[in-house]
Amino acid sequence: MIVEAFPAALSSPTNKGDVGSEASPDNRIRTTTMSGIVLRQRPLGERDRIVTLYTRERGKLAAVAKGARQPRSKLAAMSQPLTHGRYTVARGKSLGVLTQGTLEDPFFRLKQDLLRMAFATCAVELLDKTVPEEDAAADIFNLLLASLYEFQIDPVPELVLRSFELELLHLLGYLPTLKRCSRCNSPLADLHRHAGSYLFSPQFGGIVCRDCQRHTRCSVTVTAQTIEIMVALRSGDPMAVRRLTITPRNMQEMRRALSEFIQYRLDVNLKSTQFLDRLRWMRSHPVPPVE
Amino acid sequence: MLYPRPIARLLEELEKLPGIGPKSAQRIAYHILREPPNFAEKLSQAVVDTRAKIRDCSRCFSLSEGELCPICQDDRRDRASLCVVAEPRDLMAVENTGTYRGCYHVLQGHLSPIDGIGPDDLRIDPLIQRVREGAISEVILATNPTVEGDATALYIAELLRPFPVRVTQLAMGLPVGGDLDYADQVTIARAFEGRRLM
Repeated sequence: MIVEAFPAALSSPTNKGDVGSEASPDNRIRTTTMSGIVLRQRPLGERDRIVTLYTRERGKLAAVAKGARQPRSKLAAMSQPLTHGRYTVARGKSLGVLTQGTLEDPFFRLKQDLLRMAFATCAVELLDKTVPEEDAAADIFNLLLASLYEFQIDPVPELVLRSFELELLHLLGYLPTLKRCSRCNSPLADLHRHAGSYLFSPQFGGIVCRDCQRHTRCSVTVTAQTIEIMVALRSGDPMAVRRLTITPRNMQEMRRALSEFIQYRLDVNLKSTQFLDRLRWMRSHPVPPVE
Repeated sequence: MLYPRPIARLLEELEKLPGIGPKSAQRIAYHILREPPNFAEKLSQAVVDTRAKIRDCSRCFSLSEGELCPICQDDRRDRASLCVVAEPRDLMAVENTGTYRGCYHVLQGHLSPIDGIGPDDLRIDPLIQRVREGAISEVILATNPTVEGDATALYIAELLRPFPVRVTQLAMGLPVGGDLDYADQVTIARAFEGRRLM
């Protein structure tokens, strides 16, 4: 769904090249220019930053942005998380050195909306914690880039996150089974349907049928409609999702099912979801105004 | 080279300091040895005193020798204006300009959800409490112009929305003395947002 919604973003001249440009043929001092998105940054010393990039050409890599914490540095804005650009990285002794960059999209609107930024941060953290270093996957890069565009404008950013999670799980080879029993492979039509609900088992990797329910140690109850939404999110058709009525209960079930699935299957516990939960709580419990 | 044990220990401790590598540690250690003996005594006493006597100001959470820092004790400061900064060194940067005469609140960090730093890890609740007490008319958010700084400012602004206070953020844009054509597009976009009438 996400990729089709923003074909222009993915076919721009900057994103077309699947290979980085080699500035020098000499392997000892090689620099590579890549299309990348900053996942995170942390300070190094007094003036520098270590930037973690997800690049189309080399996958995830960390590089030192020297002087990036100084206000006049050209790398200051380039090294901010949730920024898309062309980055030139020189080979260093251990980490690469970010020598220059050209900004493609700073996702300005995204960074001015706290809730959208929190959803995008969850996506970025999930990606950071699940993909290995220097393992290039253009599909994952395209997914992240398209999702960042969606996070900026989609009226329901939480659905963008769920869609991102499902697509990333698919690309990593962990897509939950949604149409068949994940244990015995019996098709959906034969699945036990109890009051319109299914059991979703992270242990077996998706929905389980009545016969297999007793074998699962941990499971989440999800309604048939929630499964339908997840299937629609995976279909790649934005209209398929928009045609469905999505209730807060569906959202909660998807959130819980995918969160437990990711934790069980990938052993990943996201820190940024705590802030997201806090933000949701804050908006539903505003501070009483002062007289 | 095998150093005598006291020097080796000094080097080991110095290398734990930020930005100090083996060479810098060696240079500092030699400098201490070349100076008169009372230099080392004064230095060590200053380190011990700083660690023992400095604590957080109970009102603004800046560094303080007593219960309240000198700024919070100063009656000439404008108590209706509160400048929110992330770290005590940011407070010093604002203070060194000599243009601001209000009070401060030090958050002791920025929000960074991806690193697990949430609102409870910062001094946000005491800030809300200070605003709730009612004497403040303007809160100036002076967090860093970074994603984490912006997230912190947005979060605090949202928390302060129900209160009858003016919440402002420091202007962002071109550095003084810089060339426009060297600035990146985020900086120029922000400078345009913060343009003023002349």
